[in-house]
Amino acid sequence: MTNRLRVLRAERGWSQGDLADRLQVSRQSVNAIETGRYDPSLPLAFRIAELFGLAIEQVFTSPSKEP
Amino acid sequence: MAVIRDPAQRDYLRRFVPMMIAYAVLCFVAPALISATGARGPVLWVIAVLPALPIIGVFWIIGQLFLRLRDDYVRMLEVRKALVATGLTLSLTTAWGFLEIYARAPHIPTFYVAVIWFAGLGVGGLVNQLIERDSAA
Repeated sequence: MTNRLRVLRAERGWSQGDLADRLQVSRQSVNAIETGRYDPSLPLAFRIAELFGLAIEQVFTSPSKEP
Repeated sequence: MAVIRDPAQRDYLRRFVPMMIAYAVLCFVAPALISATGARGPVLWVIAVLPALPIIGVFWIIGQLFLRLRDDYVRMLEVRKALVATGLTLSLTTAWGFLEIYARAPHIPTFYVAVIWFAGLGVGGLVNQLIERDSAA
C-alpha cells in the first residue's frame, strides 16, 4: 500500500527515528511502512493519520485506487 | 543493534535469563538427584522432567512476547521467525523419522526437537534480514 509518510515526515523535518518516537514504534517499522514493505494495522494507521492531523485516506492510498 | 523500546521485549529478556539459569542448574540437579536418591517410578519421572520445565517456560514467554508486542511490524517479524523455525523443525524431524525407519539412520532423542526449533529461530532471523533489507538512509 503506497503512502505519503516520507513526504509528510520531511515537511516537518522529522527523521524516521523522530516519527517512530512519536508513534511509539521502532524505526524499522516506520521504514517498512514508508517503503511499502509493511501495511500498518488499522489502529497504527489511525495513530499515523492523527499525528499529522489528516484522514487516513490522505496518508494512505487505497489499494483499489492505485494505478 | 536495535534499541529495545517495547516493554514486551524487555519483559521477554527479563524472563528469559532466569529460565536459562534454571535450565542450566536443573541439568546438573536432576541427574544428581536421580543417582543420589535412586528414584524409581513416578518420582523418577518427576525428577527427570525437571530440566524440561524452564524450556517449556521459554515457549510460554515467547507466546507472551507475540501477544504483548505493541509494535505490530516487530510482532510480524517475530512471528515469521517462529514460522520458519516451526517449518524447519517439522520438515527436518519428519524427514529424519523416515530415515530412521527405512535407512536405519541413528535415533535422535526427541529432546533435540526443541534444540532444532531454537536454531530455526536463528534461521528465521536471517530470513527476516534477507526479506526486510533496511533501505533507510
